[in-house]
Amino acid sequence: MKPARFLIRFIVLLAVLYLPLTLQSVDAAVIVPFSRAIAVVSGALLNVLGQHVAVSGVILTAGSNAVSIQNGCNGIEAVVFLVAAILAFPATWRQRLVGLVAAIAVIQILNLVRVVTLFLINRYKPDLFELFHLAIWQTVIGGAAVALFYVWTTRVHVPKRA
Amino acid sequence: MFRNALRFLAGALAGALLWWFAAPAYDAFVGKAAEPLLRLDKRFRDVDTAERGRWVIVRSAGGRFGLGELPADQMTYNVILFIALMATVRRPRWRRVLAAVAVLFLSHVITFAIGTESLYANGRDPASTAANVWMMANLFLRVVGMLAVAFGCWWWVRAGGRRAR
Repeated sequence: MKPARFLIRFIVLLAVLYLPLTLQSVDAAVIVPFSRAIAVVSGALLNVLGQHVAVSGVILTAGSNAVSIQNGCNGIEAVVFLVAAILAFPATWRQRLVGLVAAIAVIQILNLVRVVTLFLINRYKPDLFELFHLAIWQTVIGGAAVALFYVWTTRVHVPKRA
Repeated sequence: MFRNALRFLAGALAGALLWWFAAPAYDAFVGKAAEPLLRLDKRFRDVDTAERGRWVIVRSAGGRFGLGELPADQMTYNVILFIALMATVRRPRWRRVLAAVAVLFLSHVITFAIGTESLYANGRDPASTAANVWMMANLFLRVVGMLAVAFGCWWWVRAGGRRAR
């Protein structure tokens, strides 16, 4: 497939998939509950590490330290990116489904590591929080999404048109 | 694959250092470049931008609108991913790389202009259609657009490489 054709399909799919998620109603019904679930799992992981974390909605608190899981910190952006890229690339539906399930699982596991480490950084090295929050973890998640997509493209059989 | 991972890491490190130290100056430049775009909206006819640390302030030279502040470095951090991905491309065509840099810069200018419109539309009436449309565009660009632009540029440069991999 020509790169320009793929990119146009990818951008159109990205807009079609992401714009509904910016609606207040979708945010309240889908995104916030999903972020809450991430907060609960992250809180449990932090408690295993002895952090005595309390979870309230999307906020993780321990003493005076608090971290809020907002849009852009819940891995949804990488998931939407992967769905758009995988759907835009020529492959069978089975290959797409397998790729999506595997890639989304990896991204969400990585995102849990991001939330846990950002909480710990905010607690013990708050001066480094912004660097890790914006520069390092966003690059790791974005890089992982691109790498997962790239690896998937090298393993799929491109169906030929009759 | 392992080599590509190493190249990605080296690129990410270089990109992070560049972004961390150059972001205030670069963000100020993006703000200035966005001024002509903002002036297309008559309400921002006399818009002026200036750097304030890692933020950019937006103000009116004639006092037509209040002072606004935008977290500009949150609109440009995809420079790190861009450099990291570009570092994995072997023997790229430099014209394509330059075009990709131009696209990245243009995306930052557009994101800044849309961020400014969203900020003021929300200040005027947060429940208005205009405020919602600008907010949707702003969120799209800042959440998935950042990743998509870096990826799209890389995909295009990679496809034009002298030796396909």
